[in-house]
Amino acid sequence: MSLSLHGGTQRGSLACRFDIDVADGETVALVGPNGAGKSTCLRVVAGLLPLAEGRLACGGDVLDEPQAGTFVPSEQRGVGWLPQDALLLPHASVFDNVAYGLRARGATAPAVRAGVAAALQQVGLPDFGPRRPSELSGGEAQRVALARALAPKPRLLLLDEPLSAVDASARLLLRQELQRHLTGFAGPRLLVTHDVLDAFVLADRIAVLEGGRIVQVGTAAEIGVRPRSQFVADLVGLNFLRGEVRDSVFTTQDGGRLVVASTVEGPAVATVHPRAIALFHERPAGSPRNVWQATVEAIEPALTGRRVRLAGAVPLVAEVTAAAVRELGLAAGRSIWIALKATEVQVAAL
Amino acid sequence: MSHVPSRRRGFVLGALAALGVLLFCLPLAGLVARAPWRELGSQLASSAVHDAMRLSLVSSVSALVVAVVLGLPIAVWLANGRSALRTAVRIVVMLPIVLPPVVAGIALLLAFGRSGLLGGWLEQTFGVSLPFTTLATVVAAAYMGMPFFVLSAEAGLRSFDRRHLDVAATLGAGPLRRFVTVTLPLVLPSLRIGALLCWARALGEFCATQVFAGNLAGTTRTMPLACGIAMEVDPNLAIVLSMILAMVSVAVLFLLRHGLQVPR
Repeated sequence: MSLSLHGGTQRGSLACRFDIDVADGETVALVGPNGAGKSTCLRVVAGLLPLAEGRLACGGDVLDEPQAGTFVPSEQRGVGWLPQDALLLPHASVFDNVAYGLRARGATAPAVRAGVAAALQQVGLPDFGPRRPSELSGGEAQRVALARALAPKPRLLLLDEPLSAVDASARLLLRQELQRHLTGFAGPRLLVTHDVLDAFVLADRIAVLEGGRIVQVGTAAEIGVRPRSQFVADLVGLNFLRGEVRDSVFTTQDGGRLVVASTVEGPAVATVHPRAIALFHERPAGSPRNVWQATVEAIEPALTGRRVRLAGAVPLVAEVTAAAVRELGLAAGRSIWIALKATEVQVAAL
Repeated sequence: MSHVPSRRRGFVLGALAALGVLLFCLPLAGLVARAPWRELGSQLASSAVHDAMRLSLVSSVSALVVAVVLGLPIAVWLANGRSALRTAVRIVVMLPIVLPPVVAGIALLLAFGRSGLLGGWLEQTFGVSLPFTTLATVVAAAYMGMPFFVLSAEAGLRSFDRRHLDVAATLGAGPLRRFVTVTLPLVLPSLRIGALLCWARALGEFCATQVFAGNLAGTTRTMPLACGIAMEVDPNLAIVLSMILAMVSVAVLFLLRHGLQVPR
C-alpha cells in the first residue's frame, strides 16, 4: 500500500518535481516556505492535479502515469483529505457531512449510520450529529473534518496544515489527538505544515521543499542537526551559514572565517546552535578557536531567554539568559566579544 | 467645493436627496390614493381580470422554468473559464437587459414570425405559428427575464469556494454528484435572487409581448397588457391591476431583502 511519488508538474511559473516514498504506517511531513510546492504535492497525490511526467503509485496500483495514459480520478483513489479550514458543507448537518463519503460510495442507510457514529465516536464528538457547522468551534470543525475523512476508510491520509486554522489553546489538544489518529491509521500519511513543532511531533520523517523540489528528507533529528537550507535552519532556530571549507577553515559568502573541526572540504553549510555562542565584555582568554568582535544588532525575547542578533561577516544569533543581557549591559549598537568553539560548528558538505 | 460652508453643502445634498426620494414615493402614493377601494371586489371578480391574472401567472412561471432549464447550463459554461467566445455569448445573453423592449419584440417577430428566420420553417414543417399565441408571451417573457437569472447564477458559480468540490471528490463523489450535492446548494442564494428578478421581469413584460404576441384577450393579454388597454377605457380597472402588480413587486423585494441589505 505504500505511496511512491516520482514525477513533476507545472504550477503557474513553478516547475515542481517530487521524489518521495511513504511507507505504510509512516507519516511524512512536507515543510517549506510559502509557494514551495507543498500543497501542489498534496494535490497531485489527491488526484486534484495531474502529473505532467513521472509516476504516482499506491501499493500495486498506478494512480497517475501520463506517459502510460493512466490517471485515476480523485473520486476513485480512496484518499482521506483533511483541508486547512475544515471546509464542512455549511448547509448540511455534522452527520450529513461525515456521511458524505459513505453515501458517495453507495453505502446503505444502516451502514452510513453505523459508519458516521463510529467516526464521530473516534474523534470524541459522539453527540454532534445534528449540529450545524456554524455552531462548531474551529477545533470541533477540524475534528468533524477528520471524522469525515476517516469514515469511508481511505487508503492514505493527506493533511493540509490541519492545525493552522485552530486557535492556540485548542491546538495542543488537537495535535495530540491527531497524533493518536495518525498512529492508528495503517496507510501512508502525508502532512503539510509550516509549524516545525507539528512536523516534529506528528511526522516520522520530514521532507523539506523549496522552489518546487524536495531538497532534504530525513528524521527530525537528522534535519535539525544538518539543515541544508536557510528555511529549515530558521525553522529549527539554528544559525545557518553558507560557504566553503578549506583546511578546517570555513569561509562565509561575506568573507567571515570560522575554524571548524571537520574533515569536509569544498562548498558546505555550517550550523551553529544559538546557545553555543558565548559573549564577553573583553577579549576572552582560554582555548576557543574562534574569537572576534561584533556589534549587537538587536535583542529579541525568546522562549528561554534573549536572542541577541550579531552583525558582521559572520552574522549570528546567540541565545543568552536575561540576566546575562543585564550583566553584559547588552544593547543594540554595543560592541561585544564573541567566542565559539570549533567543535560547536556543525559542517555538512553541499 | 471646499469654500462652501459644510452646513450649506449638507443642506443642498439633503434637499436633492429628498427630492429624489419624493420622485419614487409620489407615484406609489398616487396609486394608493386613487385606488377605487369600494369597487375593488367587483373589479377583481370580472372574468377579464381573471383571464389576465391567469395568463400572467402561466406566462411568467413558464418563462422562469425556461430560464432555469436553459439559463443554468449557460451560466455553468460561462462560469467555467474565460475566453473570447464566452465573452461574446455573455454579451448576447445580457443584451435584453439594456435593449429597448420594443426592439426586442420586433427582433423576436423577425426570428419567430411567419416570415421570420425560424418562423417560416416552423410553419412549413410543423404547421406551428408562434406569434399571437400564449407560447409567444412565454418566449417574450423568457427572452426579457432570463438574462437576470444567468447573470446572478454565473456570479454565484464564480464566487463559491471550489475547494468544497475538491473535498467532495476525494470523498468519492463524481462530477454529477458534486454538482448536485455541493455546487447547487452553495450557489442556491444566487439562484434564488436570479430567479426572483427573472420572474419579476417576466411578469412585468409589456412591450415585447405586445409587439411579438399581440394583445388578444384570453390568449396573450397578460396583466400589464390589460392594464394598458384599461387605461383607455376603464381607468379604475387599470389602477386595480396596477395595485396588484405593485404589491407583487413589493413582495419580491421583501423576498430579496437579504440581497439588498448593505453588508455590515
